Formats: sequence, C-alpha cells, structure tokens
Amino acid sequence: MDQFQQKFVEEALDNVEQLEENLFELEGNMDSYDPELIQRIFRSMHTIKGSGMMFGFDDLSRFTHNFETIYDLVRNDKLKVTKEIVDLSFESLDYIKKLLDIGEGKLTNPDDIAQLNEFIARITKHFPEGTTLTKGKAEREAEEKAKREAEAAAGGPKNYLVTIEPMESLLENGTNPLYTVDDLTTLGEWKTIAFTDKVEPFGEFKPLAMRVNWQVLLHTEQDAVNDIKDNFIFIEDECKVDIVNLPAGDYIKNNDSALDALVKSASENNKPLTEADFEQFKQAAKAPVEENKPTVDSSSSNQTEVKKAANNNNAAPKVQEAKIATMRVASSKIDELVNAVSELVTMQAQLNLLSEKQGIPALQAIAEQMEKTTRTLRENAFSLSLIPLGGELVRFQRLVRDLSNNLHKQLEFVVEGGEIELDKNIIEHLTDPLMHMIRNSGDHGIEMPEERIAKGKDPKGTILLKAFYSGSSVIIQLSDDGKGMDPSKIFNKAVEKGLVDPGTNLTKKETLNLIFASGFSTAEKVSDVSGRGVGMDVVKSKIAEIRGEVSIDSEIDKGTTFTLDLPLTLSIIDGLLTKVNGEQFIFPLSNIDRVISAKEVEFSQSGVGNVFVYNGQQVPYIQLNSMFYSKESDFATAKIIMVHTGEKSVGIVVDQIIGEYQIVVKPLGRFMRRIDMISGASVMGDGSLSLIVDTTRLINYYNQLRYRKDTKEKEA
Amino acid sequence: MEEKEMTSVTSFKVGGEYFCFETFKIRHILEMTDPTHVPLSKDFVLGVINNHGNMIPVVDFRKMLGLPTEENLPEASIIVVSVDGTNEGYLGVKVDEVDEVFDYSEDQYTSGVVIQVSRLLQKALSATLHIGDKFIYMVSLDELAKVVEE
Repeated sequence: MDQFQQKFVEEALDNVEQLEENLFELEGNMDSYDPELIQRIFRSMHTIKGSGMMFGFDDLSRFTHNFETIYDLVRNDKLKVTKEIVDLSFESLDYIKKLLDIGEGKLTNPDDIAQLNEFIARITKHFPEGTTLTKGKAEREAEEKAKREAEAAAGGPKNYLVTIEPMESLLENGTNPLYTVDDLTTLGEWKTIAFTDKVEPFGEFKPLAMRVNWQVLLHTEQDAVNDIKDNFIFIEDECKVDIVNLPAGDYIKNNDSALDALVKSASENNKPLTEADFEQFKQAAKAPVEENKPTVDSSSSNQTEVKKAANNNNAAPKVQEAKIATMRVASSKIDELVNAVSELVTMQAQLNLLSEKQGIPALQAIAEQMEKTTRTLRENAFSLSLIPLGGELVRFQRLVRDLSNNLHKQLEFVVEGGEIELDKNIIEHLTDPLMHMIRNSGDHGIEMPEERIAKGKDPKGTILLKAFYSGSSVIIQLSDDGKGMDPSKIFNKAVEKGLVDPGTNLTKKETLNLIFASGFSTAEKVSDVSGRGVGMDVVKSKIAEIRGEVSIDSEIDKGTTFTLDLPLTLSIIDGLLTKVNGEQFIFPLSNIDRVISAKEVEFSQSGVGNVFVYNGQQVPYIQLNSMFYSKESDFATAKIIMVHTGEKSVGIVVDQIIGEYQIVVKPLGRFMRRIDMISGASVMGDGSLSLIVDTTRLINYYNQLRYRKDTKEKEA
Repeated sequence: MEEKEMTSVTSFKVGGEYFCFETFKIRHILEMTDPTHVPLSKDFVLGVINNHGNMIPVVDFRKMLGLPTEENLPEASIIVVSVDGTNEGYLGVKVDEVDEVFDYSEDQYTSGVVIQVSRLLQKALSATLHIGDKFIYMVSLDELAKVVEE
C-alpha cells in the first residue's frame, strides 16, 4: 500500500467512526426524522466512496455506493428508516472496515467477491420498486457514455466558459489547481484568465490560502461537459465550478480580436466574464466591441452566483483568517518528542548540579531560566500525548449493542467522564481489559429481561463506565446492575481449581479477588461472548503493566463494580530518592503515606512475622537490605517508609532518605521483566542511575518469600 | 564460479577463546562502564547502563561461560545487540576484547558441534566457524536471550 492509500485508509476509518456515532444517534431517534443527521450519514459514505474510487479501492466504493443509495432514498423520502436498515447499516460498516483492511483494496478470492455481491443484493433488496439510483458504476458509465456519444453526434463543435472558484483551503490538501486548469486545456483550443485580486498584499501574504480564481474558455470539437466535469471530480468539494455553454462559432479557436479585448478587460478589471458578454458572438460580431458591463440575466442560478462573486470583487478585499483548530500528527512523532523532552529534563538536572558546583552567578541565572522553560516544554509535550477517553469508548458502545443482539438481553452503555484525558499509551493498554470486563458484565452480570422483571428490576440492564481524577491518578469504574457475584460460589470454584485450601478463612474482598487468580473462570459454560480462555488474571496483569491496579466489589442482585486505578502518565513520576547499601532506589510518592525514623519505633516478632508498633498498630515491615543484599539494616540511622497497599500499611526500611525528585521513568526492557518489583530506572542529575521500586509488587514478593519460608518450616 | 552466500559476523575474545555475533544484530560497541546493579538478578547480570536514555541490561559473558572474573581487562567492551529488532530487546554483553568484523561463506561453517565450554550456553553455542587457524564459536542471540530471560 503506498502512503496515499494509507492516508486514505486512515481518513476513511475516521469517517467510519463518525458514521458509527451518527448511526447510534439515528438508532436512538428512529421515529423522528432528522434531515441533517441523514445528510451527515450520507456525506460520510459519499466521502468514503469518492476517495475510495480515487485510490483504487473499487470494491469498497462499489459497496459503499449501494449502501449510500439507501440513505439517498431516505433523504428523498422514498424509504423509511427501520430497525432492519439500522442493523444492516451497522453490518455494512463492519464490512467497510473489512474492505479497508485488504491492502490494495481489491478482492481477489472468488468467495469474497461472491460475499460482496450477496451483501450488495441484501442492500438493494431494501430499495423500493422502480428505484433508478441503484445502477452500478459500470452501468452508469456505459449509460453516460452512450448519452455523450449521442450528444456528440448531434452536437458538433462547442464553446464553453468554465469558471473555477476554489475554496481557500484547497492547497492544504496538497492539490495543485494549476494541474486541473492545465488538464482542461487539453480538451481543445483554449484561453485562460486568472483573477488575482483577492491575493493579499505581500506583507500579509498567506502561502497556504488559495485566493486565485480562474476562467477557462474552451473550444472543443464535440460535447465535452462530462469531460470537463471529470476534471473536477477530486476537488468538487473544495471548488465551485460553473460550466456555461457559449454561442457556437470559431471565435475561441481563431483567437478573435473581439474575444481578445474581452479577455484583456476581464483580467485587467478582475471582472469574471459572464454568458452575457458573449452575446455579441451570437450575432456574429455585428456591433463593435462593447464595454462589458454586467448584464442582468437570471436565467440560471449558477449565473447569479458568478455575478455575486463579481460584485464581491468590487468590494474592499476581505482577508479571511484560516484558523486550523486541530492537527493530525503521527503518534510516533509525539513519542519522539516526549523522549527528547525526557532527555532534556535529565540534562537540565545535570546542568543545575553543575551550575551549583561552579558557583558562577551568571551560569546559575541561565540554568534557572532554562529550568522554567524546560518545565513548560515538558508539560506541553506530555499534554500532547494525552487523549480524551471518550473517543475510544465509541467502540464499546458498539460492543454493548452487539452484545444485546447476540445475547437477547437489553443492555445500555452509559459513559460518565468521557472528557477525562489519559496518556495514549495507557489508553492503548486499556482497550483489551475494558473490552473483556464489559463482555463479562453483559454476558454473566446482567440477567435476561424476564429474570430482571421477576426481580423487580428494569428489564434494561445498564453498564456504567465512570471516569474521574483522584489525586495523581485516574479512576475508571465499570459497574453493572446485574446479578452480582456470589462469594461462596467463587470460593467453591477456587477450591475446585486448587487455588485455595478448603479450610482457608477469607474475607469477602479476598474471596472476590480470587477471580483475578490465573486459571479461574466462573462461567459455567463457555459462551461465544466471553470465556475464551482469557480470564480476569489477564485483565489484572494488563492493568499492572501500565502501573495500574484493579479491584472489585460486588453485591448479590445489585451488581458488580470494577475499579481501575491508573496513573496519569507513564513516563514521569514524583518519587522519593533513597539509598540502600549504597545503591539508589526511588519510591513513587503516590504510594507513600509518611516517613519515620527507625529508632522511634519498637520492633518485635509476632505471629505474622516481623512487625513494629506505630500509633498503637502492628505494622509489618520489609528490610530491603536483607531482601536484596542479605545484610542487616542499622536501625539507629535507618528510615522507614510507610506505604499503603490496598487498605494495609507496610513499612519499608531503607538506609537513608535523599529527597523528593521528579523523575523520568525508563523501562528496563524484556530481560529484566522477571524482576518485577523494579519497574524501571531513572537517570539522575549526576548521570548515575537509580532504580524505581514498585511497592505493590515488592510487598507481593515479600509475602511469597514468607509463605515459602513458612511452609518449609512446617515441613521441617 | 558460483556466487557464495556471505554473512558478516563480528568476533570477540573471552577467556582466550573466540566467539562471534551476527554483525547486523549489533547496535553499539561501548567502552566498559560500571553498570548499576539490579538486586535479585542472576549472577551473570552485571546491571543496567544508560545509553542515550535507553536502559540496557548488561550480562558478563565470562560469567556465563563459567570462567572466573578477571579485573584487569584493558580492552573490555560492551557489545549492545538487539535481539528482536526493538529497543525493548537491547542487551549488552561484556566481553574481554572485540576482535574483528569479517565475512564468511557456508563452507567455513560447521553446525551441530558439541562444545564443552559452558552448560549454561550449551544451546547458544551450536556452531563453529573455521577461519584460518582460528576456531570461532557462533553465538545464537535468540538462545542467549532465552538464558537471560529464564
């Protein structure tokens, strides 16, 4: 696929997305007819069809043509929107996506072609009798050709006045209108006039704003209206084109002096020619050349448009500002930018350190100023990679719709806080887990309508996705009002699968959390929708990959809520720099409650292992020295970082606290993945590296170690 | 004469023996610097280094071969390879000395040679090249990566 085709596919997918949104709207208001909405739907399809044809996606454009016809019929009151039509439209959308997927856009497999034809037949079935719009492109072309030939036979030489008024934005798409004008001149004898009066004076010149209009006088040997029109196919939306038949004669061909004068005056006065200017040639140049003042002629509306433009020309030139509100940028470019800025932040820290050491006031001033700029730059660069969650949620809307149809349940998907912005890398990682959870809610959570009515609930089940900021993280809650989860059922299942001992005493929360254990799937039978072998453990690990946490709460017959706690951005965190055994470790500030001195508390051994007493509470602690380096900490100078995991507090003993730093997180790559309590590293101001500790995983690891030790001791 | 298929490799010395990587997998050759140790990592993992903002884990090829650590190696270098073509898959390998880059053709290649150098690297060292009077062990990066990742 070449880059243009790639761009087309990208843009077409945008259109498909838009279309999908519009179809949802249509489905919601099926009874009230909204002409504007239908027009929007038609427009999206038309664009896909038109540009598809341009880039060689012939099958796509043939298909979309038929699809589009439905909405053309609707728009002309010849067809009513029904549920079948909406369903068919959604199906068609999926098919368009599929067609966009096949590289060069042409179907080669006969089965695929048969499928396409069958699909088209299904669409055309909906057309009312006697619809003439349903002709395929080939048929239409043949017809037009026949028509053209018939006309040409009757016609003989023709003269045309073609007025081209491009929109200001024409050049932004990379179109060169001169080529179009040039192509026109290949049709016969010609003369062109360019109207440049709208071009700004040099100082205000905007190279990207198209402000030139043209008129082309054409003499062709036969009827050429269609050929002329063909020239503008690709720019018809960005260009107003008016074709006027001129009186017959050879005055263009022979470069008549009267015509010359006309052209000269038009271009000098920046006054476009009108049909009326050519009256003189009709009378075979009886009278001498007249001053060409605009003559009133309202025979066609196009004509008046031209005139309006002519009148505008006389008014003071108006410079319209072309403001571009949004811009498409390749996400790889943003990644590069963010990486470069991360580097800059690191170097800035080095510069600060150096300027402090040198003690040169001028250097310090510059370093300080640069730091401010770097900070602004960093904030801007990172905000670029934030995208609103809402855009990604449309596909879930669709998922829920398909789920309702497949499962014969009534489901509604409600989004709150779709405007919340998240790092695009986080959003990318979020799609699969969310999809899985929504499927679960629809499949296992929400009951069949009859069952719901029997329980006194609304037959329509709701899946609510709520996003909001909480401190430095974003919380996404996904809840359904279905049947909820039964802890005893979960427990039995876990025992059955050998995940817990039957005698274990678990709290409700701990029991519910069992569903995140690998090898657990509560669905009694594997259905088509969920239960494809991936379970909630995959969801948990996917969320953990982006340093997020997932928790669950459920009430029987009230519903289930999953809560995802996600970081705002992956690449910069506030951290506390510490030293253990001479090595630097960073703890994310968001997990730290407080830091205390080890000598202030009393350490003891209790049934649950090593603990110390703080505020009358027994707090378990982890000695990094013994865990990492098999050494004992010096409790006279050691510090304890109190972190929370879930609702529990744990103390982490380190040798020394250096201070708070804003750090750029760098992943350690696949070879260090096994050591998951170290989530990355960061380059410090002096060029040294410090390791970032994932406290949740550190605590999990500690618990595993203890468990293993316990069982060994029991065995011994 | 028939055109022979040539492959470029880069050889290096560890403990008096010659080894080589395929040249196209090599991204950088760096002077030896002190990596930052990562706790709980395997004994042959020296730690991570910072290379233009990328964190690269470094392994000690000497240790992987089961040879004793040698402090005085003035030519010691880190060969950074990309195992899977992505930044994620960068791996630094500390060697005693980088030797040379050369092309070899298939008739200098012997596969399936069982080498009694190291149990750890038995799978990674599965072929030898015979160049002049030198025997060079070819190191399979995919197998080496498996050993590090396990």
